[in-house]
Amino acid sequence: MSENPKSKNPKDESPILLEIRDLRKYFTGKKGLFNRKPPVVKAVDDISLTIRRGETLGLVGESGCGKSTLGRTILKLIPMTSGQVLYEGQDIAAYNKKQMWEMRKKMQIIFQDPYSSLNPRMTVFDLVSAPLQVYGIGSKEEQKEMVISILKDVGLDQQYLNRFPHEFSGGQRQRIGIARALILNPEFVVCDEAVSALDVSVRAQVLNLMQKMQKKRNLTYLFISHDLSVVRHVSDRVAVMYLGSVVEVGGKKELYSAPKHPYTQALLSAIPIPDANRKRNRIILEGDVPSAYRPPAGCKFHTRCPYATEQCKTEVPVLKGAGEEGHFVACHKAL
Amino acid sequence: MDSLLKVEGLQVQFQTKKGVNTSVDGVSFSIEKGEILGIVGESGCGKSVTSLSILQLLSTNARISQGSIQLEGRELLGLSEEELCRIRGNEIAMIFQDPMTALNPTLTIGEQIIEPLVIHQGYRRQDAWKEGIQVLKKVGIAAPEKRMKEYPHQLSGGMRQRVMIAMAVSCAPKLLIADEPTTALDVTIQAQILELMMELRQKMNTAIILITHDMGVVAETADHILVLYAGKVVEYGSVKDIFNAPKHPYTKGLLNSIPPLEEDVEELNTIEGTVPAPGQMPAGCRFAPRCPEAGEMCSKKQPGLYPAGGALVSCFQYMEQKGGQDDE
Repeated sequence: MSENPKSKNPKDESPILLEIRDLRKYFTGKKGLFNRKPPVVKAVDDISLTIRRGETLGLVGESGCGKSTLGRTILKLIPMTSGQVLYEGQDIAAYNKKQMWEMRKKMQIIFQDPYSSLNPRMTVFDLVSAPLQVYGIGSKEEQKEMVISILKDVGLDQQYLNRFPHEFSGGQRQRIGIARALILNPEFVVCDEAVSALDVSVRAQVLNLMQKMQKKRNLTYLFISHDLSVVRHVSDRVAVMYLGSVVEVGGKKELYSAPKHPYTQALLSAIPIPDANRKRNRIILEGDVPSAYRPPAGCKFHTRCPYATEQCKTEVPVLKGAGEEGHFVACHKAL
Repeated sequence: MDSLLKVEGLQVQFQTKKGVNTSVDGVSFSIEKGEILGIVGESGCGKSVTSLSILQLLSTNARISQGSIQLEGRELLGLSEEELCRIRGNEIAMIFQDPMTALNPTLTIGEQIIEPLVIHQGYRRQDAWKEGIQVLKKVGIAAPEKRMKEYPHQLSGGMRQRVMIAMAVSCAPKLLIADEPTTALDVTIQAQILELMMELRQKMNTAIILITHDMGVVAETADHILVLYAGKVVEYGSVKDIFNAPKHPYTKGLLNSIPPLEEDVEELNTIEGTVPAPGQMPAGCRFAPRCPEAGEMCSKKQPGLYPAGGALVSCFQYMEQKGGQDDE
């Protein structure tokens, strides 16, 4: 992944694996006594993205911005409201249960919490071999071999086969989660805050492992995280979400060094940097993220944006090309 | 002159089914008026236990077995519960990580804010209510009159943390202990809260003990840092000393395993292995099994704290330099 600023990332040329078109996921609340119309949360509101084979697309945003919902909607773990998800050109949104069942071999997910995502009553062997059993792959003996080999890949010894999750540390548990997600040889993996629950030193170990596995198996990652420095480290491109919409997407270098959207700028300037010699000019945003039940009209960010004008209050900005190729920003005033 | 708070040789033991675990061992530090001390370390290093010991809020199976904690020269260990209550919230206040569980969901914000004022400062209810509005204003809450009558669930996470801070500073404490005050918050809200704490320190000259696992947060706010590992101090010094020239292999490893924000690295540095489990502490230096620089002595003997370039470091590499005191 060594790149000098001028050379293009070779991953820019690789074929598109996944294309998301106008994806929407609305959650509808209960009708109340006084509100005749049930409240609607637009968790994913008209999002279009592409992910190339072998690359990592980072997805950042604050809690409640819809980044996890987007990941789960792409995998059809929750039904979408409308839109298309093209996997190698095939719209999986239209797939029936049986087609989707086949498809899931190729698409996996690694969850955030290594404590609640592993069944405490199952041994490591049961946990990691579960996908093999579901798809009826291999005999008992072959399954055991496959589990041992993937455990070795993720850095766990085979002596752990019959142990239970509570006997492991957070980092080891996350390795088990990774082994389980990769045992079917998927092509596309959603990593939903996969390292957020881990301590710094262990987090680095797991990040290195995930990158090693990506290289070895040519995996494509959608890496969801609220931690901007982690996202920068693992991603090729990064998309920034705010209240259900993508406000900016671009190559990580350009996005981090020359962010165009005022929200991205504020987000980046808010990260505390472990360097005692630098005091930065921090952009401190006023107020809180508005309630998802009542998102502001026009640009959703206008209530906190220092550059907002009348136009921003009424007109919804769309993603437009900005700066280098592949850098898009949804802002009327993009700087 | 005495330091505002001086903690010496603090040792905390927990009684468990499997025996006695020492979770904090020989921790010493001091803090001056208006200073911010960052206590950093990974989960289980004893940073929260250290902070809870100061106000003696530990669970019933824990015991402060050794050490002394002095507030302006006055020993806090051994004080009666009644005497401690006069200090808690009045002279030393605390902010917790999760503002949702730390606030009482059945009481209005106002009720909770006036409580310390009525108890410690002898305010009458009406006056306390007015003062409460002033304090909410001070921590940057809009429409404080309205917020006083609302319940915690009606506020956002950032606002709740502001309310917690308002409660903590309402009696103008000399020392504020903030245990992971921004960990549950988003980065833009975290920036607001840190800014607010810095501002209050400036205005009220309050000393702050900031407990966090985020090295970025301490680098930007603290004056001094205490790095803990498995219940022991590994390095103690000024922010500049520690970030510019970390000495202990653990501090170095910790700083190196953070992905940098402005440059690319092929592979992150890691610290191999995991933190030892309580009850299974190595005999020598507790970091020795994971330490890339460990020598023979490290697994046999516990290092003391040795001065090195302005900081104190618990590593045998710095023992030769004179003036070091041995631990045992």
